[in-house]
Amino acid sequence: MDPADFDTALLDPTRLSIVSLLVGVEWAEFGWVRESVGMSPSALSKQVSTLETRGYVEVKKGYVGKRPRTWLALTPTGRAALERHVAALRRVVEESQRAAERRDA
Amino acid sequence: MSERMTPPAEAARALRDVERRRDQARASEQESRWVSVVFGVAIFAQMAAPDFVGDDVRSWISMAIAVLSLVYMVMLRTPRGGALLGRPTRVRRDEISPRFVRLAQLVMVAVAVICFLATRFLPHGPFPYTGTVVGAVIGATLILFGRNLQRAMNSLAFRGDGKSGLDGGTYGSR
Repeated sequence: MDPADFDTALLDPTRLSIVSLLVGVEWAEFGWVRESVGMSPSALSKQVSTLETRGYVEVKKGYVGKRPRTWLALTPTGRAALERHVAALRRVVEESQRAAERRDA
Repeated sequence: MSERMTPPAEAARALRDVERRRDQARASEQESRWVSVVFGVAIFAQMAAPDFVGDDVRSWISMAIAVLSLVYMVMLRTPRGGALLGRPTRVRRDEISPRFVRLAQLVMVAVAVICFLATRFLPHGPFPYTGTVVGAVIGATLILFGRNLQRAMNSLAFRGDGKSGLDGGTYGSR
């Protein structure tokens, strides 16, 4: 398995969780993502900034009434990166299974 | 960041986490109770009004419900509108199972046909205040069990078939 197949940003379990949450939604509120992954706002902000710098996540800020809100959305680049990463993970698992079957045979 | 190969157990765990998070996102489509209350009251008003103020008012209430539904649909499509409805996320439409979409279309056609036949052949109901009673039952069901119904619909609509929406392959339980 070529290490280049893996996305280095998504090798971090927290970032993989954030991107996996966002892949099935058009947008998600920052607060909901924070509760879902069980992180503090500042820790999540840091991870989101990393993903935003790579172009994986889009951050939108706005107000609902007088309350500020932040929404996160996965970009097409982020979705493609997750697809490649998941495919690489699946290959690792499948190769391991094939190796185990060869040993058993 | 590590550049080493991912061990199989670690890879399997990561795949399970990806699937778990996707399920978590699908289950997030919930909204505030006030939305169920508004629609429950509107349906009750639509069905009960002819019993008290005559048939003329029915068309006005129908129009009000149509406008309400339109505003609701527009709100669903925007993050701010979704926030006002109490929805923290909007699940991608391609996550909905095609089988559920076909079933939903069939149910909508069946309801429309039943409503047409009921108004055509039973304009005043089999007994006095039929509309009020039916409206009260439907409205109360929506208000009391709206969120549970929505959860049940979500589990049908977004039910996984063991395939990943990412690449069409199975993963997560190896």
